[in-house]
Amino acid sequence: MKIKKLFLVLIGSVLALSSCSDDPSSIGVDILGGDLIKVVTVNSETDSISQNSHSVIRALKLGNSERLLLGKKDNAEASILIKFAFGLLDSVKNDILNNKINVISAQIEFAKNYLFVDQAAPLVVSMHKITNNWSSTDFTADSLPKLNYQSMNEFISSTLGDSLDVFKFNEQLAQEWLLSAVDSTKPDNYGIFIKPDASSQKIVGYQALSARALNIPRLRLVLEKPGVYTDTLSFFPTADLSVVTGTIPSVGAENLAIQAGMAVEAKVWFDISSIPSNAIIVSANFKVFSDTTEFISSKNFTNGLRALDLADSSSLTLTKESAVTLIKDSTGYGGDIASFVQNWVKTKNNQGFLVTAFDEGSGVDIFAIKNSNSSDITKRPKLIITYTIAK
Amino acid sequence: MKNFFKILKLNLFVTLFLVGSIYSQSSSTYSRFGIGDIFYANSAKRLAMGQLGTSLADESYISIINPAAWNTISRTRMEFSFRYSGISVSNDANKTYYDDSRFSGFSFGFPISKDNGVVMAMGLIPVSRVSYKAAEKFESTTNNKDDYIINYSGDGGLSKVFVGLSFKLPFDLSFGGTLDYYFGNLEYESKVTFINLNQRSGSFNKRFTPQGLGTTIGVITPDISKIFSSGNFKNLRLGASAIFLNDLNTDTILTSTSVVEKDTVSSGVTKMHIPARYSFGLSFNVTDNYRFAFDYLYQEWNKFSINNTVSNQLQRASKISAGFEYKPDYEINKSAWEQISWRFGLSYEKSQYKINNTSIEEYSIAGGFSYPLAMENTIDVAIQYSIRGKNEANLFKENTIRLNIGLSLGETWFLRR
Repeated sequence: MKIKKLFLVLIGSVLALSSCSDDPSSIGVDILGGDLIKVVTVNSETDSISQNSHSVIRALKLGNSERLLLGKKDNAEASILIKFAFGLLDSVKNDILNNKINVISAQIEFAKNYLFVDQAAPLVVSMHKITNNWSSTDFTADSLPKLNYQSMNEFISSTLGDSLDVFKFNEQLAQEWLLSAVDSTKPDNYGIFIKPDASSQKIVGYQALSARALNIPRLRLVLEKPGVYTDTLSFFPTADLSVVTGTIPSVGAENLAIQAGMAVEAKVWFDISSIPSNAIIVSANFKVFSDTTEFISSKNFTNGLRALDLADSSSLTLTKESAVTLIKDSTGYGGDIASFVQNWVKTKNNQGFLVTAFDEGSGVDIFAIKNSNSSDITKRPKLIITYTIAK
Repeated sequence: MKNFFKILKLNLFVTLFLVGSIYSQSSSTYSRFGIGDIFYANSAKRLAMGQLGTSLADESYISIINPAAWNTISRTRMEFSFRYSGISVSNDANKTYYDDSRFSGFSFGFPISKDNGVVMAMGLIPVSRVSYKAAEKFESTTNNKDDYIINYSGDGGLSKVFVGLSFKLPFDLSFGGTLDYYFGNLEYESKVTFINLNQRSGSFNKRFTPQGLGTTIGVITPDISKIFSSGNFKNLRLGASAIFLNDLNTDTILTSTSVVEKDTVSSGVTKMHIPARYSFGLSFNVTDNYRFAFDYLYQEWNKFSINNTVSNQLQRASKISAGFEYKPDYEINKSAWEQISWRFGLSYEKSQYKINNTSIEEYSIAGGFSYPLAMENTIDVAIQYSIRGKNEANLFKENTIRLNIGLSLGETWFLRR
């Protein structure tokens, strides 16, 4: 025990000594040869790195949006596809099968939560019975021309309010949906297509089908069993989406247009071929400058910008890199796209990236940012890359 | 037996601490090259005598450098030691201080046949150590967000587990050999960190994980002092030992780490060639109490290679050492202080490092003592001061103090009565 104690005391004493190290100094760095590294900064503006940028329209899958857009404003036209499920009591089903129930009123109610731009502007719609199947999971703007619907307008009237828009439509169509729900021999119900008239001058947004929201679209039917009862029943969507079509908005020759909803996006490319493939990207600060004179924003929704890494600039497919949120400042938007640049350097495949609206399904706000041909070169998209590499 | 388990528990604690402590930080960037700084002496007894002692056969010490020296061990022995290093590194402009402490080895041996000098021993000892940190700070003149530090660090080392035997050959020649298993991890990192940019960083890492077998063999002559016919000049012995290593299988991985990902740039298994080491020694006593030892060691580090690539920063290393020991006669009625053994040593080393075409040399002076706790049980203490390198050719100088404290235990376990 004496030995053990004495030895441990000695060890403890030595351990107590060993806490005096200084911070690492530069002494000895010079001899490290192949381990030495350096930091290099490349600035697209001052180092004359070539770049190009232009706006594109990308086909997005539309079913995931939390908002349904409807209307027409300038270049953009937004339409809605929606279909409902019918949960009915057996007695009601029998009455429908035996033609003992009539639909005496049919309307779809939408809770409004977006306006672009003027509430007083007109919104005129038409409603059409869809005659072929569609799915919200893979429907894109390119799918719209393939959608079949009856040319006959089922629309009767609309009541447009501050928070609720109601569209009445032909009761006979609703009667067909009920019959289809209870009789499998009848044609399937593919829902209704609501599109704006050319005279419309605004785009509104409604809460879409969502597990998280309460005020989702509602089909309200007034049913009558002659001499027995009259009742009002509500039904909710099984699928809905909105499609925004149109052209790239005109925001000036020196600007790039970015518009949510229609997925007008800016494709940006910088020549980073001077960066060695084994470089470690420490940061890659990307900045775009706003032209606020060309901005058009909704009244009740603020969108932002983000950057997405492109796997193929022709098909506009994306890599698996996470989107980078671009933070707004007094002159524009910026963010660190180091992950993109590291990927380009490593794979030697630089397809550029997209600058898009942060929420592409929730509005049609227009952003205008200075493009690569801006006469003021300090306002062109800017990329400052800092990397480290062996000396 | 109860005492045995107590000490075994202590050893287990020490061994676990040793394994965990082998890889802490210290030293300078000289250790970047080869497999780092070489440990020639793991114990206070040898550190105090100039580190080598190839021809020293000591019944109370398990020699690491020459297994032939075990033949005089008459009791079961257990030894472990602990080392503190304080290093002042300086060049013409700067000076800095690092220190480090860790266990520096454990060994265990027991006699099988005293008459034939058959002793078995085993242990776990560090062989080398890579241990440095250096940093350069860069300050931007325009934006302090651009300030950054580049840190260079190396860590790790090679260790070995050995098991071996000694025995006596005809004419009282002693021979010993061990089978050595080498293993370790050498890791180097170059890292840039931006100070004011959320500590953004990027780093390059190289890691070598060698493992493989080797052997140590040694021989010690019988006492040849009789040829000088001097009464006080005795126990003159010559010794030689050699360490041979197979090429070590070495897992190699080069990675780069950015804010985005840790990427494996390359990886594979390659060979690490560590050249053989040879040492020769001469020792003698003047009376029974004064012992002298002189040694020479060399190793052709210029032939060291990883993946068949030799290093321009390595050269043939050699070391010359001289040691002196005063050991009083054991008498039962002497106090412990009167039975202290004293040691002193000097060494000159042309190290394996040749940086900027300049050979890195080391001079050291050491002293120490063994304080008796019981028969053949001692606490061993050694302190060494060394100077390595020079302030020219863009190099730097190390002034090092090493303190080694060891426990050397001899018990009568396993002995046939």
